[in-house]
Amino acid sequence: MTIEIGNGISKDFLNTLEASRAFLEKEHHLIRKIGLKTRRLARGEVVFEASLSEDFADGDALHGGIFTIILDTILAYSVYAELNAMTPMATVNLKTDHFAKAAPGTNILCIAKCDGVKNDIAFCTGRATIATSGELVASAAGTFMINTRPMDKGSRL
Amino acid sequence: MFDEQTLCRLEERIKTSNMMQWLRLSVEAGDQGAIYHMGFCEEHIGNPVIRAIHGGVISCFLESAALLEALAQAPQGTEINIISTHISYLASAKAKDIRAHIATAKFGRRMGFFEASAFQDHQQAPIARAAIGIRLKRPEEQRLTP
Repeated sequence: MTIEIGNGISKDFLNTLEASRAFLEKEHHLIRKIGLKTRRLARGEVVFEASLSEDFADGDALHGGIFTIILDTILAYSVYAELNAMTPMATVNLKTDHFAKAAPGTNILCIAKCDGVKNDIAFCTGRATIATSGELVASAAGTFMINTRPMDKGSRL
Repeated sequence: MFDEQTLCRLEERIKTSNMMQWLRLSVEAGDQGAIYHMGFCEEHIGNPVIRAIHGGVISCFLESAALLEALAQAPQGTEINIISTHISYLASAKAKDIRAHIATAKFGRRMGFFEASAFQDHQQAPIARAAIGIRLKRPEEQRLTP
């Protein structure tokens, strides 16, 4: 499936993202395991799709924590898409609400939006829905610190 | 403090959850309540450049620990569902095991409120803190509302 490219995404940034995607899919154990596929990229907005395996189940349904993992990841991506750059960043805080359960193997659509950047803090919101019905499974709101320094004394903030 | 029977019940619950096993979650009795443990594995890494554990994985671990804490306190047969989690990341999590302590802010009839603290080196130096809300559906309520 092709990736829809919206307005405001620079060619340089797309090239950087493509290199990053290739690296993540090959070398990043967690991203590879989740199997996130990019569906849309626009300025400050990203859409991903995933069919989550039984490895993330808690009994018959998917564990709600997998949506926290995905939403934390894609909220950060929406900041990259807002800035048009892969700048170092750290999650400051994240609030996740769990609405419904989803069965393993269900196609999940995950949408994130960077609502704004003030100085070095980015504010984002996101949702995970069942792709076929649109039913809301989880939503999240997070703040991120941009241009964090490398981890030296434990804190990057 | 958890008794042997409660610890066995929690261990049985962990065995039924693929996610908790992926987190390598275990629980042990401590002097001031249970200590939850997440064993490190490469799949927990979020940032491979600085080798920090993914923030979402830490949140997922704390949610799971709070769920087990609720299970330990709830009457047998209670349905337990996480409603919301608000986590603050205080420091990067290094590529090693994480432990957590869960404090019960309120354990009501229909809702439980928990405060989770995750740490690596010392309990006094937390890497993350979370407020977790859990819906408790006791057997008598399940009979009234299917």
